[in-house]
Amino acid sequence: MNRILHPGLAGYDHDIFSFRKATEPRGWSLPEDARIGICLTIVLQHFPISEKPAYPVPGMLARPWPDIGSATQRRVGLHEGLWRMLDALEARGGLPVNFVIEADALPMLDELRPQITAPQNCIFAGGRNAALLHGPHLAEAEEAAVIAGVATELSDFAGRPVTGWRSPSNAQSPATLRLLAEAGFTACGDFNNDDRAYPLHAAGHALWSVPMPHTVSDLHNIEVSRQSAAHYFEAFSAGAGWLAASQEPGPVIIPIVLHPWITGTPHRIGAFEAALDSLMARGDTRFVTAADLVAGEMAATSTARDM
Amino acid sequence: MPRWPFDLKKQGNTCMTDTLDWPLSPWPRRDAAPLRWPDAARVAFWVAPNIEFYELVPPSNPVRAAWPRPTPDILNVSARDYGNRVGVWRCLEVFDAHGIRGSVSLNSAMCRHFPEVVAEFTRRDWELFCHGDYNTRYLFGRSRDEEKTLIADACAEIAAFSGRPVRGMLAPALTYTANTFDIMAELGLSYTLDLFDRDVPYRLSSRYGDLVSVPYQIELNDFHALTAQGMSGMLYLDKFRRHFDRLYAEGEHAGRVVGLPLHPYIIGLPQYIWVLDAMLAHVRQHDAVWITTADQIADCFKAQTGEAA
Repeated sequence: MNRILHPGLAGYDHDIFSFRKATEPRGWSLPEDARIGICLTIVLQHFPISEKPAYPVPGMLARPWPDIGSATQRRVGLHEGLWRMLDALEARGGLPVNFVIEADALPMLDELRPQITAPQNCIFAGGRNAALLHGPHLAEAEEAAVIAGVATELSDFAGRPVTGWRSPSNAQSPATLRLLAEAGFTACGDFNNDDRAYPLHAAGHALWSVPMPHTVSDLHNIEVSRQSAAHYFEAFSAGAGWLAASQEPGPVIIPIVLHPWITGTPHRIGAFEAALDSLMARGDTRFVTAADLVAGEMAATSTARDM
Repeated sequence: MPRWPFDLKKQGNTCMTDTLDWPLSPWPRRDAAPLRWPDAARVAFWVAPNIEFYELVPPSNPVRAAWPRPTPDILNVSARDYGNRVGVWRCLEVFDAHGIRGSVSLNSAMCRHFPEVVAEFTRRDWELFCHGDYNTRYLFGRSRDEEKTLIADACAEIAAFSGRPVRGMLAPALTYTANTFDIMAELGLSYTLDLFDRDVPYRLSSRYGDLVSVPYQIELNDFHALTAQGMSGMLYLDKFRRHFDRLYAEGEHAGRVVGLPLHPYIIGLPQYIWVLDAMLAHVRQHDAVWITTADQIADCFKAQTGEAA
């Protein structure tokens, strides 16, 4: 595990990442110098009916076995809910998004593979399934095997190396970051503390944190907090308005994390479509992927080093 | 006043003889003399951003675990770190834009870990009050001496940083013992923000000396509205406007307090920061508002109501 530091020292009480303020200049820009980058992540999950997470997490199958009702409600996220969201993105010129995919969902996605793995999209490994959480309950060898297996299956599905990871429910063990780095992953979407990409300290390996926070997700805001889809999505448009005019150095990134079993339902998809149209109509906004954010930060780091 | 010997051992308290005088204050009277704020203001409005440090692996507490997940609870720890990295800077921009100066609910550990964040508030002449040392270190289960040392040390660290004595306190993570208010009084604090039952300041019982309650207003706290109650930004804004407008109307006859407790890791998120801007704009649309700090509210109340009985 990364070191826990003495509480008397300045900075963090750990060495997982370093402090950075949102007021610091980015050192890079989006195409056409767009002010705002929308980093949209869609999480595709598999909920095994006979497994429970090691501890309670949002969205889990929580009723007694067999929780067929909840399980089938979640499966909407791999067919109709997902179809609606893919159609919405395609109808708007094929907006680039991140797909976080749990490996056990892959067999259900074969028909949609061309759309999901389209070149503009960024594919992230989402772990094994929604019930297999990473944590101290996993022996390190077992966790390493999970990571390795998922990496292979996702890369085969994508037809290209998959080097990004977002753990089921953002859960980690003390060894997760090191194991990810040792397995060749270069980006991790588990941290909820920044809208920008930033470097993580992972046993000397290069590993970037990318913004896929639970705090901005439909899972937290709609499923758990019971907000309406209209209010949830309209809030991002309102936020874009404030951020566009703010003093915060650009590009300002707005991450949005969605689950098709939530947003893809018939009563919510319209709000999602309206949000896409509202954000696109602004004229100062561009949809970006996690890979774009890392590339930008790397370019800025390289420029700074060359100065 | 009856003394209630709660089963404190069950609560993890190590001292079996501690008792809590409950309630902490005399019952309010409707015929009490109305408060008058400066310049005939109807509402004393103050903002309380919580500037906090959450430890990844805090010391264990006998009553409550800091994190719901096993260590490392990456999701919850990093979510709170958003406040110091991103949220607080957006909040400062909004405060500056509306000319707001308030009181910081400060974990003293921030003076050590991220002094550059605290310095932004001292540079703007905000009041700093004590919110414990770390938000992951609760008062639950502490002996009287331990608790008093924690609070005294936290107040001393904040005072050393700002160059001004600390005059008030909000218990860390809203955790208490039977001794908390006695300790506040013994340390000579002027006010507590831990009592959520009124929209005006009031004196605690004579046992607590000159300690007064200043309204912190949990109803408007962004954690309670947006996280605990799960409200959307639109509903939170509507709630704030209704709450403010009602107290502004009541304030025509007797001064009221509207306190706005905030957590930059919540209100600073992209989907919520515009709400803070709209709330402060709403306040500024009203003329008879005293934009002030918690200590000034306490001082004004004490000046009007005289010495403690």
